[in-house]
Amino acid sequence: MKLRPLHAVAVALVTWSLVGLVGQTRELRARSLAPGSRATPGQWRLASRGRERLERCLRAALPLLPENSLTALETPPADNGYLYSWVQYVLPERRFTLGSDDPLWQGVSHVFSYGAPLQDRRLRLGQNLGCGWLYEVRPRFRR
Amino acid sequence: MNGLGFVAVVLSAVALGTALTRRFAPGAPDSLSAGFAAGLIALHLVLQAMSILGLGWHWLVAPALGAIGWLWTLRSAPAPARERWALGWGDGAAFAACLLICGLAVAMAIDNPDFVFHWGLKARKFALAGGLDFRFLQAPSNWRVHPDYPNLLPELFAITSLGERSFHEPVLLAWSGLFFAAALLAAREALARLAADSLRRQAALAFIAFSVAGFVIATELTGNADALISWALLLALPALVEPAAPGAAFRLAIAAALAASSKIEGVPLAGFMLAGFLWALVSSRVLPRRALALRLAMVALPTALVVAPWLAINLRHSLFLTTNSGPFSLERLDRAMPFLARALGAHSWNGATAVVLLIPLLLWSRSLRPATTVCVAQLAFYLWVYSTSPVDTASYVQWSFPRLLLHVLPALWVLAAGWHGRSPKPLSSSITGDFADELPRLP
Repeated sequence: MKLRPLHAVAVALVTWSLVGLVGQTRELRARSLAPGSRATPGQWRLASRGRERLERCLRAALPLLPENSLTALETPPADNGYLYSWVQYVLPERRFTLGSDDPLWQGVSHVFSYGAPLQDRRLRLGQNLGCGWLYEVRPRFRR
Repeated sequence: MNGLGFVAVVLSAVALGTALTRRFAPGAPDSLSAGFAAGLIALHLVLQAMSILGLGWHWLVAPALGAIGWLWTLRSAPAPARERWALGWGDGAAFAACLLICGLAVAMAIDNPDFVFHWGLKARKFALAGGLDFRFLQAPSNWRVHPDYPNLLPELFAITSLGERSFHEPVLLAWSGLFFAAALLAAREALARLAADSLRRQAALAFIAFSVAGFVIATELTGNADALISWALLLALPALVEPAAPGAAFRLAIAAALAASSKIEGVPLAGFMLAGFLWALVSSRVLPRRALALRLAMVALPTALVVAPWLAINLRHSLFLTTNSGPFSLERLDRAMPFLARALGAHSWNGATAVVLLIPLLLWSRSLRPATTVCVAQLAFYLWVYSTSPVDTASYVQWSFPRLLLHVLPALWVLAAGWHGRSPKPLSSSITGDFADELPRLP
């Protein structure tokens, strides 16, 4: 078969795309091994340590949360949307709401604070779950 | 055992889709890609209807539908022989790219954050609820999971995990590898109709496989629904180029329904595909006006069956987000432009976006014009979204546009490979093939 200029272009394009694919694969490896590359909830992936830690921690909370109960999630502002999704993902058996979306905690029976403990008179003394604190809302403050 | 539920759903979709193809497009050659898509749509319709009727999902739904499809296929006439294309090095390259993507997906090395923030989270909730979980979708904080999106992908994940009896992520991510393979099969079928010679077909297929695989790896894209839109458009190409060929109407109908059931931006794409098909049919002048209207009605039916319940669910449960669109703003468009240009030069695309420069040439070609116009219309729709959405335009474009390009670039590459090629075979001069036997029964 005679190689026409258009065919030479086609072969060059395939070679170019193959080189790109090899480069992307190598970059993926470097990216996933880079220290700190999967540090925040927005960067976590399914196989991340952060996910594993959160899941282990929240699984311990499962027996403490009644079925159909609603738990408010309190988190540092920078992470709240991402962490909210992760919390729902690793503990889909329970319902959560984001505390910053509903500061009055409508229908909330428990509050989970990721990271730092909370000081709030509406809450009973909490339990340290490792990655955060779980509190029960005092009955007279439930709405 | 891990993977059995996945295999059961896939085989069921193929069996059901093949039966539907034989029934509604009796003259069409078998297409694994189109048949698989048809099966997925049928499964989506059934699962969506069950949720609306308050019936809980059971993992046996998919195998039961597959068995019905298989029995139906046994009773139908065999499909005519497909135009053969001998396997070549391009196929080998595409196969290798598929293996790479499947391997990385199953190893959870390229999972997209949206698997957790959107698709997988919904699936996990739906699997637990045994259906679409409207309470979850309606929850005020859950606007973050795009509650108004069509649910084909979460449904597939959920029904697979019900079959698996666990939410086993590597198995669910294998769906992305499968969509990648199905899209490449659709590209291969389109190239067989469009590209002039073997070298060009093989080169185009290899280029598409490597470029898309590179992008999927660079952006860690498995576990989300963008590949479905890309697949839908590739599936539609032969029908948009040869609208009167046997099986074209059915293929287009399935492609449009697949787009509409995958993502919210797939709904306008389905509309563009249907309009493009009508344009191509009118240009081909093979159908009388009455037959044209009836055929278009039949072609639009699967999309209508997908979109109507989705709309009803969204309106009934007030799921549409106010951030989806707002008033048109030239200022927003102006702000978006530099970032759009930057996205075209994104490292993740490795220069493959240059195909947009060929759009004027593709529009020049009479046979490729409707298909190219559909691609351009979808790109224009994204511009409109960026010009109307009341959000931070710059970050919106940077975050989404390189990924949205995946929807149209593979189709443009196929069209570019076919641009200098032979004209498609002469169109049939009579109504044949898909939906043909439906026409007399319609009012």
